[in-house]
Formats: sequence, structure tokens, C-alpha cells
Amino acid sequence: MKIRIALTGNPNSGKTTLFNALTGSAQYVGNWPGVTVEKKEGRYRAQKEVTIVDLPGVYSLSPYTLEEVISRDYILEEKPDAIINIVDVTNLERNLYLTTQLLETGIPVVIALNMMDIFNKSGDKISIKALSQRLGCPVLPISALKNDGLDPLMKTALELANQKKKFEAVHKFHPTVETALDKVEKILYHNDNANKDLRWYSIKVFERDDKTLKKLNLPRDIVKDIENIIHNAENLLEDDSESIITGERYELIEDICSAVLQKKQTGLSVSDKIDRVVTNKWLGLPIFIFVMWFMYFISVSTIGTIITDWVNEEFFEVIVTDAATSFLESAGAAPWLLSLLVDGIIGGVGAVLGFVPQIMLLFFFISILEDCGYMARVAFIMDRVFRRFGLSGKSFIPMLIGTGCSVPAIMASRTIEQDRDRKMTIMLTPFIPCSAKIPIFTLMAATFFPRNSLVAPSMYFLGIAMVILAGVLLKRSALFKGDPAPFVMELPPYHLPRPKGVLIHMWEKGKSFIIKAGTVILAGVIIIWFLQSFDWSFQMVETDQSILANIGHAISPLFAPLGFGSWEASVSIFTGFLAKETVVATFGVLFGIAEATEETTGLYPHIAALFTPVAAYAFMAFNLLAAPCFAAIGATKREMGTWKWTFIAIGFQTGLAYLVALVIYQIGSAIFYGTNITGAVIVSALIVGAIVYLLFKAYMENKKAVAQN
Amino acid sequence: MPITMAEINKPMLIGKIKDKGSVKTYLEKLGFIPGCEVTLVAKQNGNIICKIKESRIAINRDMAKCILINPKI
Repeated sequence: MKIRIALTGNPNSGKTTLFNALTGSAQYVGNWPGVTVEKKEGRYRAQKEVTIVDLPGVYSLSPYTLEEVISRDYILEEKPDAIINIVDVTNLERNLYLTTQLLETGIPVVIALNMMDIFNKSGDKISIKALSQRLGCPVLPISALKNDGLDPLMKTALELANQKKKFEAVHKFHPTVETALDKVEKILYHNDNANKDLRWYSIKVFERDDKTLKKLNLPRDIVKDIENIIHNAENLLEDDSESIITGERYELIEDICSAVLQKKQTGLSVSDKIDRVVTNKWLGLPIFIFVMWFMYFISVSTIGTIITDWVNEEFFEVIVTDAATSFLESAGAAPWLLSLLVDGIIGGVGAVLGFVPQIMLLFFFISILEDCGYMARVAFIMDRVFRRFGLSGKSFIPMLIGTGCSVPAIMASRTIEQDRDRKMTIMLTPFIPCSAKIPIFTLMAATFFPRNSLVAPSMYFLGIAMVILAGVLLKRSALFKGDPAPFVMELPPYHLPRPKGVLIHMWEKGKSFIIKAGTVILAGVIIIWFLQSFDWSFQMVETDQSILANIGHAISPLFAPLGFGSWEASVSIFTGFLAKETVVATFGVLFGIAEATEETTGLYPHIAALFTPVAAYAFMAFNLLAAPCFAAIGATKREMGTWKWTFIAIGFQTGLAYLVALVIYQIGSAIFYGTNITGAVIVSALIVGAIVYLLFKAYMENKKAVAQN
Repeated sequence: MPITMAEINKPMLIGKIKDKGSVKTYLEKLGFIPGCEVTLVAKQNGNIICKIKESRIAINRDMAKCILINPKI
């Protein structure tokens, strides 16, 4: 017999940690609310016929956010056999709010009292027996993180699921509310949909829950009768019906908590003290900038480079290439095979793999920041900056995830309630450099700006600046007009990063980078190698007569005004759509040397001959902003829903990338190399002027709006 | 008075949430219920972080101004 058990609970209460522990999978866990945006299914380790469903974290079952809708629909429509409600015992009152709603659904509930280890340390006391009695359901203490108490929890949950009994909630509200609910119940009793879960539906109808009313589709006279009952209660209790129920729930919970909890009085917690500093009006932003710079300085500029150099120069260039070459030569392989393997595959894929140490280090730091709780604060800090330009700080969370990969970042935009803000975030998120773009930056930075530790992280800040700028531009258009949604977000408590968690994060993110190198990029370099080795009549030729060179020459005039009109650079931009790492891999294949990473002397002169430093910077900026890789475009399509919006997004990104690269190259060349003032320079200057004007205007308008408020 | 004007680190009681549609419901579900204790933890140009129940909630200025508080008696 198949059994389904759903995991529900507040955001950041440890559902995914529990899910991973129960199913043995390694789903993404983060220390901020809203990490899980979609439900995930897995099999219970000990009993494979048991399906466990991890639902997104919600504060309640009212359909306010998308996550709530997903969780609610699953519980109500698909009716799991049992619910494990994860309750963060260190924040019992708030967590029990959802519990009271779950108990009303009629599905058997087991409460997993999570974070017992932290709770016990704090010196507070709880009576689990009394809590279980008051709620009328089993309560089991666990620590998902430490794998404590999971077997008894599952045993209880399975017992309940096997009984297949309908659950009756024991908690009751204020007599006035109960009287009204009774009356509603009597009316609903004759409705076939509602009489299965009478308690649940009568409360939802009493709250005037849109979705429920639509689903029940009650006749008009009945709606009128019910409306009378609600009105009566509202007059008696002097509030709207939904607020009455919310208030009643908290009243009930307070009552329960005072009976079962014994709390020590606590002063300002450590989290509060840290927050005083990092979210400080003056220090918040500089601290964030410093953290970002430091992260890049260690992982890209200093330690990362040392390790990467070793991997490239010792490992790929000497050991692997020599071994492969001598082996193939002694085996009498054809020259084309040698070329494919050494120039194409080792050169291209190796070029990407060489960056693994840097990427791993970067992920290591990002994982620490995520795990300790700082990232959620960054959203709060950035809200102040973003709001000045008409964006919400909530948009910043997907962008933080975007430092790893744009695909999950675009999906994370679902946590944004407002459709307009969400669409805009989907469009702007790819501006934040993902890990795949880092090889491009480090290669360029090391070739042209070897002594400047600011060039690589500057791409970060250029990305953020472009998000703001593009936000202002988009807000001007009719498609996106309107105020950003209010910012309300729970900040998780700080805790010391857990080495295991951080390493798992780092590995999970790094792994996908390596897998990509072995799949998409491998396929890409084989195609590129083929195109650059043959001409249109499939004869093996020198690179500059190849199919690739032909294509490159055809499109290169398009990029000439941006400073990278060489056919090699043009081609690499196009191969970048496959995956951004392919840009570097393309150079690796094209220059026919087994290694194309930043310190390789063999590649230096080749790259240096293609660009001027200003053009190189423009090239970096173009790759930063232009349409993302296919995978991210696919994610954009999924989240936007229509091709029209997908094309608007891609067109906007690529158009902006072109303009920015144009401005950087033209104005940069005029300033640094004293090139003649041409039409392009004047156009660029006009663009900059227009942008500055728009930014200033938006800033002043928002300031005025804030002042008026 | 709105919570934005509260003194930092001094517990206050929530008086009322001035209606702002669905956000009112959302705040209520997080525990912002009349009579509940709330403490301002940090303030940044009107954007606030406050402590309610055992959690810290960040709220932007416009929203925060809808939360009216009373002194604790």
C-alpha cells in the first residue's frame, strides 16, 4: 500500500533538513525563509513504499503567497495520509499558528518539535505531554540537524497514516465565534463538497476565503444567510471576520504556551547585537561591500589563483596533455583524432575545469554567508537602496542565489508576491554574475589587469548597478509602473556556520559546475573543434579558413563598435549561449593549445592581441549582461509563462548589454587612449547623459514621494 | 504612534494595524495582533527590524507606519 506523508511548517523551521535526513537526498537548505519554493518528493529510507513530500514553508494556509497556495492545494486536494508538522520549539507561539489550521483539515497530524537541542541549551522548559493533550495530536521532540528522534517520529506518523481515520480538532474558539461557526456548519451540511470537512470549510467560509467560496459555489440565498451570520459576529466582536479568527488562534496559542512553556527572561540576544552593527544605517552598506570584496579577494585574486595555477600549469598542461599526446602518438592515432582529443577536449574542457578551485572557494564563502544568516540581512540592507529606485529588497534574494546559478535564482523569484515585481526580478536576476561567468572575468582580469584586485569584483557591483538602472528604466515603461510591494521578511537568528553544512553546500554547487563541464561543455567543445578544423567542404584546414572563422567574420562587424570585432571574440559570445563557461573553452580550442586559463603564457599573447584593456572590460560587461545561457532562458520561459515575455526579457538584456559595452568601449577609449571623437563616442555620451538624468529624476521623485508620506 | 517612532529595545504593545489590504492579513499571521508585545530592534531610515514572539521581522518604512503601538502599562 502506498503511503504519502507531507512535511509542513513555517519557513526556516528545518523541513528540508528533516526531508534530507528521512530520504537521504541532498536538497538545498539555506538559513533564510523561502528556500523551498516547490514541493519535492522522496522515498523514506527505511520503507521505500512511503513517499515523503517536502512542502514550501508557510506561516498559514491562507492563500497570500505562491508558496502558501502550493502547500495548501497539496494538503487539501491531494490529501496526504498524514502530515508531519515541523514546529520550531524556540519560536513556539508563531509556529503553532499554522498547526491550529492543519489540525482543522481532518488529516492526521504529528508534530515534530524541532531544534530541541538549541532549546534545551537555552534553559527553557516545555511539557511535551501537556502540549500533546492541548492540541489533541502526538508531539515528538526531534533535532533534524543531529538526526535525533527521527525513528519514533516516523513510527508514529506511519501508525496514524495506516489507521486512515479522520482527525477531529479539539481546540475551540471564543463562544461568540463558535456559535457563528455552528450556524455556518448547519448551512454547509447540505453542501456535498463541504460536508466532508465541515469544521475546515465553515471556518474558511466564515473568513470569506475567496478560493473556498469559489470552490463551493454556493447558491446566492445561502451566501446571503451566511453573510448575515458573519456580519452579526463582526458587529459583536468589532473586527472583520478574518482578523477575528486570526486573533482567536493567537489567543488560543498564548493560552497553550503559558501552560506548557517555562521561559527564562532574556535580554538582548547575540543576534540582536550583531544586527545592530550589520544593519546599521551607516555601516550596513560598507560592510556588505567589504564582505563581497574580501570574498573575491581570497577566492579569485589570491589563494584561488595559486591553486588554479597549479591545476592548470602542472596538472592539465604538463601531466594530462603530455600523457595523452604520447599515448596517442605511440598508439599511432590519426592526426585529426589527436587534434580532437588534445586541442578540442582537453583544451576546452580543461579550460573550464581549471577554474574549479576558484569556484569551490567562492562557493565556500557564499555557503558560510548563507548558513550563518547574513544573507537575509543583506536583503534588508539592499531594500533601502533598491526602494529609492522603485524596486523591492525582496528581489535581492533571487539575486543572491544567482551568484551560484541563474536557473534556481529565476525560480526563487516565486517568493515575490507581486506579479510585476516578479517579472522584473526574473529579467534582472541574470545580471548578477553566476559561477559560470567567473572564468570569463578572471581570464580577462588576469590578462589585462594582473595587479588590480578590484576588476573582478567590480563585475559584481556593475551587475547590481545595472539591476538598479534597468529597474528605473523598466519602471518608466507602462509594463511595470507602480510602487514596489511592501517588504516584510523574517530574519533568521544567526548561528555559527556548521562545517558539514557548508561543505555539503559547496560540494553540491561545485558538483553541478563539474558535471556541466563533462556534458554540455564537452559537447560544445567538440562542435567548436569540428567547426574550427573543417571548411564548408569538410576538408581539414587551418583555423582561419574554417567554418567557424567564416561565421565569425560574418557576425564580427556587429561587435566592432564594442571593441571586440575580431572573429574569435564574436564566435565566443555566441558559444556562450550554450553555457557561459564555453566562452573560455572556445578560446582554449581556438588557440590550439591544451590549456586556456588565465596564467597560461601560451594564451596570454593570443588574448592580449584580440583586445585592448578597455575592450576587454567591455567584453566582460557584455558577457555579464547579455542573454543568459539556454538553461536560464528555459527557466525564464517557465517562470514568465509566455514566449512573448521571454523574448522581451532576452531582448532587453541583450540590448542593454550592447549599450553598456558600447559606452564602456567608446568613452573608455576616448579617455584612456585619446581616440578621435567619432559619432559612436557622441552617441555613447548621450546615452550616459540620458541615463544619469533618468536616475536622478527617479531618485528625486521617490524622495518626494517618501517625504510626502 | 507608529512603531517607527518607538524607542529601541523597549517592549511595547501593538495597538492596531492600519488597513493596507492583504498585507494586514499577512502581518496578523506573523503575530502582529493587537495587545501583543513587540520590541524595536533596529531602525534604518524608517525601515525597521522588530522582535515579535521569538522572531525578528524586517519591515519597510511604508508598512511599518501602519503598525500602531501603545506603551506597556
